[in-house]
Amino acid sequence: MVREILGLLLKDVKTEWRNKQAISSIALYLFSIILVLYYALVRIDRMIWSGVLWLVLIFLAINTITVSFSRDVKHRHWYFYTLTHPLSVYFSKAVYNLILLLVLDTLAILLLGLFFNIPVVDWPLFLITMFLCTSAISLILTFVSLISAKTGDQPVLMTILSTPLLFPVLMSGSRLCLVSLRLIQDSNYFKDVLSILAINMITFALTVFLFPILWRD
Amino acid sequence: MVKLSWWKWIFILLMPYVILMGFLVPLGQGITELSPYVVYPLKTNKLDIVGYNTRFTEGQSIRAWLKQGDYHIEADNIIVRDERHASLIFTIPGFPDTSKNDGDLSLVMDTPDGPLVLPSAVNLAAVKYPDSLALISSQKWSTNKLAVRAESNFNFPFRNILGETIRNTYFHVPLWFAMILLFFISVLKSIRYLQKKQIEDDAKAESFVLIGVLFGILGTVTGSIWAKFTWGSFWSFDVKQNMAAISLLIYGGYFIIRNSLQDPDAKARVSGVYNVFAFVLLIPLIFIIPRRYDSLHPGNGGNPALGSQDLDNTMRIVFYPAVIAYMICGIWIAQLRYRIKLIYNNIY
Repeated sequence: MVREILGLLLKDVKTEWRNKQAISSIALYLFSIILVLYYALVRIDRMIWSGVLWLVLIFLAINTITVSFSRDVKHRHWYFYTLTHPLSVYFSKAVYNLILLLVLDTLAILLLGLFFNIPVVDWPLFLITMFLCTSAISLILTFVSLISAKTGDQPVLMTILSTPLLFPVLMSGSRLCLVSLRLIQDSNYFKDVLSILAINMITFALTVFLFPILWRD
Repeated sequence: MVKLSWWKWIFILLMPYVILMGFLVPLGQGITELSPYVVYPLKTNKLDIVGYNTRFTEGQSIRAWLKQGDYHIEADNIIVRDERHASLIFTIPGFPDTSKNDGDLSLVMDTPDGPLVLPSAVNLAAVKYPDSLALISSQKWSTNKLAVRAESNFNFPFRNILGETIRNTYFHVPLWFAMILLFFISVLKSIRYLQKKQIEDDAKAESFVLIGVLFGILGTVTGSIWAKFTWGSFWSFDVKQNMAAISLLIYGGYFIIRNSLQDPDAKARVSGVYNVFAFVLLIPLIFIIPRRYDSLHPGNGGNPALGSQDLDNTMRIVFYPAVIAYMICGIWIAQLRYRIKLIYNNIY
C-alpha cells in the first residue's frame, strides 16, 4: 500500500513537473495578490499581517485543492479503481496537496516578508501551527474536493462546503498565530495545538472509513 | 380513534405540562436594585433596596446581613416602606479581614418567604485608619453560621439580569439537545444506508437533518431573543452564537449537495458520506472550540453550565421533561415529514 501511495504521489508530482501549470498559476496568483496588498496597504502592522496571512492561506488552499480530483481525466479514475486500493488514492492526493500547500505557504510567508515584514516572535510555535493547520486543511479539502468532483464539478460547491468545515481549524490556527506573534497572551495555547491535532486525527479516521464508499461509482 | 405509539403519548402529556409549568410557576423573590454601591467602615450606612416578588411588611421578622467570606455583620435596623421597598441600616465596624482593606460584600436577607441573596452587592470603601482600630473592630464581625429560613413556596429561582427570562431555559436549551439527537439519528440512518443501500434510510436521514436544522434555527432565534434581554443585543458575535451559525451553514451544504445531484443513488451516497463527515466535525465546533474563548454563554469562558446556580431542583422538574418532550417532538415531526415525502414520491 505504501508503494501504491508513493507511486501515485510520484505520478502526480511528475505530471505537475512536466507542465508546471498548477504551481505556476497559483504562484502567479499569490504574487499578484501580495503586490496588490503592497500597493493597497503600503505598511501593515502585526495584527493585519496575521489576517492577511490567513486570507492568503485559505485562498491558496481552496484554489489549489479544488482541482485535485477533477484535473485527472474522467476515465483515469476507473483505471486507478481497478489498479489500487481507494485509500492509497486518497492519501497520495492528500500528501501531494500537503507538500504543494507547504511549498506555497512558505512562498507566501517569504513574499510577505519581502514586501512587508515577518513579525513572528515564537518561531517553533508558528511553524508547528502552520504545519498542523496545513495538514488538517489538506486532509479536509482533499475529501471535500472529491465530494465536489462527484457532484459534477460545480466550482461554487467547493467554496461553500469547505469554508464552514475548515472553521474549527482556522479559529484555533489564527489564535495560535496571534500567540506566536505575541499579540495575545495565552498560557494555555497548548490546548489549541491539541485541538488541531485532534481534528487532524478525526479527519484521518473518518476519511479511512468514508473515502472508499465515496470513491466507488 | 387515532392509534399512536406510546412515546407519542408521552409527548402529548409532557408538552402542555412544560408550557404550563414554564409560564405559570412564579419566580422566587430577589433584589433588583440597591443603592448606594459603596459602604464606609466605622460609619452608619443606609442601603435602599428594591425587591422583586417580595412581600415586605412592617413587623415581619426580617433580618439582613452583609457578608464577606466567613465574616458577616447584621443590620441594626430595617425600615420597610412597602412590599417591595425597604431600607437597611448597617454600622460597619471595620474590615472583616485585616489582611485586605477593601472588597465586595454580599447582602443576605432572611424573610418568612425564604432567603434573599445579592452577591457582591456593595463595595467596602478603603479608608485609612489606625491598625489598632482595625484589630479591635475586626472582633465585631461574626463568623457564626447564618440561620436563614428555607424557601417556603414553590418558585423558580430569581437571578439578577435573568429575571423572568429564566423561563427560556425550558424552551431554548432543549431545542439544542433535540437538534443534536436528530443529527445523530440522521447519521445513524446515513451509515445504515451506506451499509445496506436501502433508499428509505436516505430519505429518513434527510428528514432528520431537515428537522434538526429547523430546531437549530429555532434555537438560534430563541437564543438571540434571550440575548437581547440579557446581553443587550440580538447578535453580539459571541463565540457560541457564531458557532451555531457555522454549524447551520455546514448542514446547509448537505442540502446543496442533494440539490446538485440528480441520480438518487449518487445523491444518497454522496450526501450520506457528507452527513457523517459534517456531524463528526461539528463536535469540536460546538463542544471543544467555544470553551477556549471568552463568552457570555453559560458553559464557556469559565461560566458554569447547568450548575446549581442555573438549575435548581424546582427547575429540574420542568427542564428534564422539556428535554424529553422536545426530543420526541423532533423525532415525530421528522417521521411525519418522511411519510409526506414518501406519499409525494409515490404520486409524482
